[in-house]
Amino acid sequence: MNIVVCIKVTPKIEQIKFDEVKKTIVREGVENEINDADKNALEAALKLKESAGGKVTVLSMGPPSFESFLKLAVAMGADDAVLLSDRAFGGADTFATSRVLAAGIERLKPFDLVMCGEASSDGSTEQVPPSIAGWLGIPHVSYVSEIGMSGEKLRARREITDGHEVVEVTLPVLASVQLGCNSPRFPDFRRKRWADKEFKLRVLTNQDLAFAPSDVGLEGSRTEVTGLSRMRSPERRKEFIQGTEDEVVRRLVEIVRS
Amino acid sequence: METVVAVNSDPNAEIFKHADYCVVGDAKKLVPKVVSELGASGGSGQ
Repeated sequence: MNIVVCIKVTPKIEQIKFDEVKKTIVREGVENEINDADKNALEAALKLKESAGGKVTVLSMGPPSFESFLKLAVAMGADDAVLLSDRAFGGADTFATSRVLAAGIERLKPFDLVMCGEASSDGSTEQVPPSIAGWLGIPHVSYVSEIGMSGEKLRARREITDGHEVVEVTLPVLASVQLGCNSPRFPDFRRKRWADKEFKLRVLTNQDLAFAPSDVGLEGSRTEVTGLSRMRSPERRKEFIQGTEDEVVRRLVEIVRS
Repeated sequence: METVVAVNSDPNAEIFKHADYCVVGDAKKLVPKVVSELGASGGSGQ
């Protein structure tokens, strides 16, 4: 079982800010973390590896400074890590990002399963996982909360409105998992030391992937953010209603009627 | 504008900052009572 887990390094949620002029997410001068849903994807992959055997490789696209986050994923239990890093990849939207990630995954062939978090905490488009599956020409199972093997097939539980669905799908497949569907393990202390000191991250640049510059990064992007506005919650009365249950019910009935 | 009524057992619930009327209590008990009161007297249907 060869599993590739795509992880995105995002600003810590409380530090997500937007540049209202450039209409982009501010990525300088903020502390980063591995996107939470991607940690859930990694945890699900590690559990599957424990039961089915195989190898887990984490893959990310970003600047060389993301190395420490890939090493953190290795300390959590990933066997290998690959960073796709090139100035040409910068400024990419979901179209160009998924294209580069798919090319990185192609380099990790043969793979059986690609796993992603369902969405990033910063961009939240949910477009990258299905787009990667599209570039790779493999099926995509979304809203996944549990995975396991059923013979040669992947069995996945999908959370849907009013319940859940269990699907079986032939490999290779891409599964995007729900935020919070499991509790990601903490990095193992000894493994962390090994990851920091001895583990060698593989870095692939555009020399390796050989894209035309117009196919990747800002130039290869199809999305243009034309407007950005801040949502402010409207002022509310915040009036507490007190009294016996009957009094409260009577007052609420009056409010609904008014 | 719509009116927001929040019912929560936690007096410090975040939702109370975003509500017009706040009730500390059990929504599962309270809401059916309000609904049945409204129904009994032929609520406005809005």
